[in-house]
Amino acid sequence: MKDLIRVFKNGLLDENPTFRMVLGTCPTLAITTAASNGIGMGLAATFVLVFSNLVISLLRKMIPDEIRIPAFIVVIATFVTIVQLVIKAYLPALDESLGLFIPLIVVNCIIFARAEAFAFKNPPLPSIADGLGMGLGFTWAITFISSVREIFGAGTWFGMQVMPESYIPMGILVRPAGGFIIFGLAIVLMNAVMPKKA
Amino acid sequence: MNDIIKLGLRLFLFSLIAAAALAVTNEVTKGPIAEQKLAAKKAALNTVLPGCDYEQIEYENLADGSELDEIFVGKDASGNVKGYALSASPQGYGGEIPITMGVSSEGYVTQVYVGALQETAGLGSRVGDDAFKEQFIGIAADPDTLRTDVDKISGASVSSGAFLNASEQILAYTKGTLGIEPHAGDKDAILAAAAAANGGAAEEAAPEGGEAEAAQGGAATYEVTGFQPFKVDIEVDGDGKIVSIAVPEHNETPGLGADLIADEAVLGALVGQSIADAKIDVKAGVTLTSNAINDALAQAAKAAGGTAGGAATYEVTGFQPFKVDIEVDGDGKIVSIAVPEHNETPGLGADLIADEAVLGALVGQNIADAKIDVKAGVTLTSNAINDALAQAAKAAGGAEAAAVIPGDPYTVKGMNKFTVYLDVADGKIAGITVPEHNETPGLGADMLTEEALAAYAGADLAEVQVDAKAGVTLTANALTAAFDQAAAVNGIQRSAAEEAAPAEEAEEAPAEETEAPAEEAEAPAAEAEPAAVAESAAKVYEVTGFQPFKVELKVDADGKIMSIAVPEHNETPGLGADLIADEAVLGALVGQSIADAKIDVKAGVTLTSNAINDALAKAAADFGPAAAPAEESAAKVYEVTGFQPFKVEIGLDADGKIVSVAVPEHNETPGLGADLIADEAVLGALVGQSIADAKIDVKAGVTLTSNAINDALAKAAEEAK
Repeated sequence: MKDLIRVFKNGLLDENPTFRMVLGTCPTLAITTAASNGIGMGLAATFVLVFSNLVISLLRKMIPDEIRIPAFIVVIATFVTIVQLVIKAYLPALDESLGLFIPLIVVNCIIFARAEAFAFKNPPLPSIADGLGMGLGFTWAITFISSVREIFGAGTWFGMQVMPESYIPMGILVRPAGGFIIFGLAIVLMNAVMPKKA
Repeated sequence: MNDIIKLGLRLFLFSLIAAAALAVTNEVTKGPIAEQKLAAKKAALNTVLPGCDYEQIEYENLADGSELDEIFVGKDASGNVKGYALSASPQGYGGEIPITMGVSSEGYVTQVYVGALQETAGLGSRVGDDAFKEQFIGIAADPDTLRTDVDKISGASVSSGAFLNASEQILAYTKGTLGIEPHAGDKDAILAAAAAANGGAAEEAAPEGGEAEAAQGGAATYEVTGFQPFKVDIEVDGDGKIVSIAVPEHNETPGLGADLIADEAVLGALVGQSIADAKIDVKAGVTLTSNAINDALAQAAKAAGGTAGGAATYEVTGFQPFKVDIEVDGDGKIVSIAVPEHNETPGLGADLIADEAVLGALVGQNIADAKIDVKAGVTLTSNAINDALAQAAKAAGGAEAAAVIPGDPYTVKGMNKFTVYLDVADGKIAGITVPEHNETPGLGADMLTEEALAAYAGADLAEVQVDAKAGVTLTANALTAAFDQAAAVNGIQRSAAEEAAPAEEAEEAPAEETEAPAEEAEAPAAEAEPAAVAESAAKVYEVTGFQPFKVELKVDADGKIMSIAVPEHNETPGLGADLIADEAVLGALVGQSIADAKIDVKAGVTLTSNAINDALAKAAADFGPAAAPAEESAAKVYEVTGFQPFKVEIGLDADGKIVSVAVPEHNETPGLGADLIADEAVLGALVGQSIADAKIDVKAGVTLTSNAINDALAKAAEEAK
């Protein structure tokens, strides 16, 4: 159990996929213009991570090494498609805001990397913990970036006006350039607050 | 080999299982996904074509490369086509911009609905904001005027440009293929109709039609906020009695507001009550919920219209926003008016509100004409209070106002349009009322006060004349026109007005409009007695555009144009000649009232357009009662130079007030000075102003032309001294 918790916490902080491993930057920059997008994308990715880790871990003895990459892709793509269909059916608002980036979860490096580095070599239960940790680590990271960009770039947070009416939003923050800048600054902040363990 | 087969089989197995899982998921979600798409489409259709049955139809003869997606026709309950909804998804900056535009068969754009956007937040995304979309409401469904009516968003050229391009395609289809004649609509009426049809009662008045319907009762849903927002369904019968009231779902506090709503005794007690005074008791601990229900009842009472009095709160903005509580009784008389709290300036607006004499004086007045004086220094607050009174008057219902005014309405145009209600009995004027108008205070307005109109009561409709005083010609003529119309309707022959023949030849066409003053030699107006009933034979007017030509005009007894034609001319092919040949241009005049018929003066065809308006003006002068009162000074011509030299004709009355300003022809830059001159609002605003201080704003880009016009005004002022 302690091991499981260690594995789980790993993804949240020490090996945070966004700030430490710098994986999955494509959606990180593209959709983090609003906090609700951040949470939505993060949870969708977490769902895919957990289940693909689980399935790959269960099948790890049956997947020959030579075809592991196509096998991973089939598994990951299946779960992403399931997520996409479910979101389209029941959460149209999220579908509208995340749009193209849901199917792009397939090529989100985080999922592939964890499948290769962890799930393929570990039993199911730790794989689930790893998927959960990584997914939630990704979620909080992009929600943090989204919040900063939304509050200062649009004056709102989760759609609610938080800056005073007279605040003129910094438009650059909701554009890709601003995204890069905030991303970089967030990494600096993370390193300052929680220095990497040697 | 074996290895490859083994690997292949494994992969095949995984893929099979994955495919099966996906197939199952797909089946499960297919239904909901289709429903979502349909709901989105319905939302769009309900917004742009409210209250219709929709039917998808096919595009005909769509050009290649057209960005139009789908087209729906909206029909009302009896199967009449009310309009069309067209959708397009042009490529914006970040993705497609799903647009649905409604075009009413009456020729205006109802609304635009914008679906999910992937444009840059704060820039391209603004095409989805109300501020951008509102520009479309009520504009004429004409691809040629679209860009004048709707502005692009600076900083979002790609998104707004794509939006406008698609809109142009949509309008080109409705105008060209569907043949809907562009005609601007009434923005407020459109919004009110949408609100009514979509079930929520707006804070503002229900639409005119809505009131008539509500007189027959009806059910509607009102959105209110107690502890949380919730909806109240209220059904009222034709007598204004509550048939049913229900709250289908809510999030009020269990044990408090929730219990109140669930308590059958509370809501049940309302059934059978008159909506006008239905209210529930506000008990401690459930104030928010109780007030919310009373709010819904008040909205329902407002919607039920004419039968009701009732109290309501109106939000207005003076120096700061504040609310005004106004209660009106069943006869439309103000019972009480109060401003519970406000942030108006102490010593100014605050004192006005606190002054019991001001608000107190309103009690007992008829809400339809209650107003407080606007004094200097407290303009914002006074106007805000009058705003609240106006809203209350609207809510109290047009049905009432109509019921109260006896007589038939005749709409005429003096300085502005107004309606004269004439009750004719035995050939005599039994009653005459002008409930509202925008005539110049101190001039035309004085002719339309109750006292002034009382002078006509009892008069013989065949003989009654309106005194035309200097400075009130337009209003006087309008009043006479109303008498003429009433006489025609009642089959009475009116005697020709004696002061018919103008002493001077010139010009006086209805002030703010035509550019071309009537020419002397040609104008039949100068000599003939303006007959009260115009003849039906076509009259020929000689005018000069690029070259001289003749315009044949037939006007019927009510002053409506029956036909207009230019049998032959030598105008420039491709310019004036095309204008004359364009059936849409001359055709649009048929049916219009000769008094205000004119065609748009477009750059490049100024001479020809002005000539046609010239002919229209002469016909108007012919038809209507006399033009220039002797006391008015003739319009004088001032030569000025803007971008190019041009002449400005300024007509003043005996008091030095501008009666008319016109620039018959010019060569100012199209899109800049030319637009300024063509802009009726600019020159029209000068009419009624005192020549001594009349000026137009000098805007960047049109300095030369603006200064030239002010130059002409200054010269006229000098001469007037």
